[in-house]
Amino acid sequence: MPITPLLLVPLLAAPQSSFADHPVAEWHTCFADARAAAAESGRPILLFQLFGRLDEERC
Amino acid sequence: MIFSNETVSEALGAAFECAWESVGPVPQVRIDFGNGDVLETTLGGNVLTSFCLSNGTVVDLLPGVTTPQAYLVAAQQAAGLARTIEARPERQQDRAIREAQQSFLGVWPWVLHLSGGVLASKPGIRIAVDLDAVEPLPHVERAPNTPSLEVAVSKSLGELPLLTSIELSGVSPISDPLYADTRKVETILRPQARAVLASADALTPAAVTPHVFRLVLKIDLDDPYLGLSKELVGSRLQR
Repeated sequence: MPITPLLLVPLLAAPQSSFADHPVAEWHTCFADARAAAAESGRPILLFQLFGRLDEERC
Repeated sequence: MIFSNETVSEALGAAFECAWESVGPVPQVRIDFGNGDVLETTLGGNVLTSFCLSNGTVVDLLPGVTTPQAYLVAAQQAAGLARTIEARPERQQDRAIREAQQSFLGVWPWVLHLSGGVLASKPGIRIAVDLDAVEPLPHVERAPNTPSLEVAVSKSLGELPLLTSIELSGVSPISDPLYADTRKVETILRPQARAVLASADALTPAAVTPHVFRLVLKIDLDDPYLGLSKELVGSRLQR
């Protein structure tokens, strides 16, 4: 299929509705735990890496 | 700041399994002005977000700090990309990820090599990759008759929702340094990170993160001085 920018429009727009009305994110404190949870839920993983600790920093 | 935004936090919780990891202790700066005033702060902003498939394969990267709105747009993009990749057979996923990243950049790997590791996606923006640090070519060459991934997009279209969200947020481009940081991330740091990801030997956080910190954020995670030692020559470094 040829590349066309129009195909990305629904890609960008569609997730917004599914983002609503869900609980605030719960954070795993290591990538391995997130992988284990993702294997169960089927959801992708967001890994945030920083200096220091997320629960002590203003991020 | 980003994750204390309730809208962003709810969105991330709905779409992702979220995890955080520390890459080292947070650097602290203390300046005693000698008159009783002391300034103490931390060196922040050197952060990396890796968006991964449920099996841990990295599909997209966001280095640095952005506005919450821009972060949400990036997360939405990555969630869509992850769904697209996951729909493909597993044996095709790594190639699809690299092709997606190359499409975001608008270049192909051989261009990277022909240019000696320096890319210029548009005038005034220089994207450089240390070719010695990444595994470049054979596995990212397009196979014959392989259809293009449907997430390919021009940079201008990719920026559209970002710029719109920034405008809607009421952030002043002139007065808010976070806006400048966001522009830097979207126009310089993220394309560089995507170039690294497109050429990475393995698409795991363990393999990708050190390269992105070193090549994009200019921090060698193995350097106890985080690359600041040159600037501190003459000062009394203490371990």
